Amino acid sequence: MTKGLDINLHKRLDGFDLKVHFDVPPGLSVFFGDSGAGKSLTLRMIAGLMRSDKGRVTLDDRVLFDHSEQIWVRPQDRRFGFVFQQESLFPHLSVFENILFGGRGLAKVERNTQARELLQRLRLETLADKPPQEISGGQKQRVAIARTLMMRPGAMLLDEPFSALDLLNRKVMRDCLVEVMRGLEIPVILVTHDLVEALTLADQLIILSEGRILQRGSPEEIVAHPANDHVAALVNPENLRIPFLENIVGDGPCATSDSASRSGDHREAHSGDDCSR
Amino acid sequence: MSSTSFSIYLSFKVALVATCAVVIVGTALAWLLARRRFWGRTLLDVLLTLPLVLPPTVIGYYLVVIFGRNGTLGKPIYELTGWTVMFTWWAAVLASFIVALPLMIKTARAAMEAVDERYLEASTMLGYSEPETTFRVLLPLSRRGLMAGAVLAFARALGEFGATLMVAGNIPGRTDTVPIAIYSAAGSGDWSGANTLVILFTGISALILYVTVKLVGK
Repeated sequence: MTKGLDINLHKRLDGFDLKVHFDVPPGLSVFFGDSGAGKSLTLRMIAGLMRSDKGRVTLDDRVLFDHSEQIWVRPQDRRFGFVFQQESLFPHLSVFENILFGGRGLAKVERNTQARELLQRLRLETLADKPPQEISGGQKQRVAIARTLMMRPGAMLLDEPFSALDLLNRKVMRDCLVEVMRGLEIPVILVTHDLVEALTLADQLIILSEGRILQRGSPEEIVAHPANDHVAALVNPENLRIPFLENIVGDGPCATSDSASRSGDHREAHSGDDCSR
Repeated sequence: MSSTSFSIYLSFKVALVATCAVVIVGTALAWLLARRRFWGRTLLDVLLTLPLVLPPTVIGYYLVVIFGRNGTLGKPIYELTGWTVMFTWWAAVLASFIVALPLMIKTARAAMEAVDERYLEASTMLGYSEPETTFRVLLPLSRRGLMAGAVLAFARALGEFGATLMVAGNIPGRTDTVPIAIYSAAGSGDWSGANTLVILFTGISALILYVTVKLVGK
């Protein structure tokens, strides 16, 4: 059995042609590229929120979409945890109720227990009864992650979840994501146009431009051997050598990770307080 | 029960029953117009908005043509059951329902369309079907608009006169709602009776508008 996602999508829109074929093994794959490269579009098609003209999507050999076989699994049946770029917590529910909402189909007691565990794990206990309007942007995205974890997703799709946060909160959320992923043996796709996120989090980095994959591999491979000048320009670590940024990320672009971080061991390198902000 | 008390009781009974029906049917139609694209959608929208702009007598006329004893629907109903809705308090409910329905649809539809798509997508991605998402996310997030629509519909139903007079008539002790009783009292020179009903009715209407403003004004 092939573990992970196998994705083959082709979509034509006005003046834009997206054609991608790649696989996502368990671990964190980062979609990186300029704005308008088709990253979010690809993610929405994987989720089933948008239809692809042609192609095929499978998760652990389960066919979710196959144009030629006319197979279409509805997005609600795909069991993908999706975290949106903009906050998507239900404003009529408290933080705790939002997390509970993710436990569709679970027995009441199990649902409550699991939600309490996630509150604790993501250090949200003190916010449990608050409405989403009263918590910070970073906290909202943590609740959104907790909510998707409630459904025990087969894969996680994160559409620029930290882009609305300030730099400091992004760093906290990156570390938080790494901590959350510890022990999760599922494919996770993170869409970003933030090079720090791309280089520090990715097990697999997928560079997308104008609807095509330019290169994929580990961040080290891509930085060391970019496929072309465009990729080289996109992943150039020199882009990150901005003094105020270095103060935040540490002593260099990959300060929150080291060589181990990219091979998957980065999860161990972070303190337990990553989600505390 | 005095005739004034009966009129007030009947008006509230008619308005309440009509509002219940309006809320159910209006919310369903608002959902259809807000969330579905289908052939004839604009035509349906126009048809459902017509009662807002047509004179109540025109609506009353249509209701007579459809539900009268020789009407399109009224005739088979009468032949089958020996019963006609005309000149019963149900006719007042029917008239109120038709004139109040567009208010509910317009308000509810606007509220539903104002709900950000990402909440619905988030619910879908968490495994909820469309009906589940509608009841657990869309309707709760539209609740202010739905409540405002219901209050407006109730107020409109309470004040309905023209169409009601045509289909329910003015039968004292049976179909004389407050507006009809006021019309009768003024017509027969009973200014004291008319005064009482007018003052009561103005107060109730003002209260309803106040509640509506409170509900949607934030």
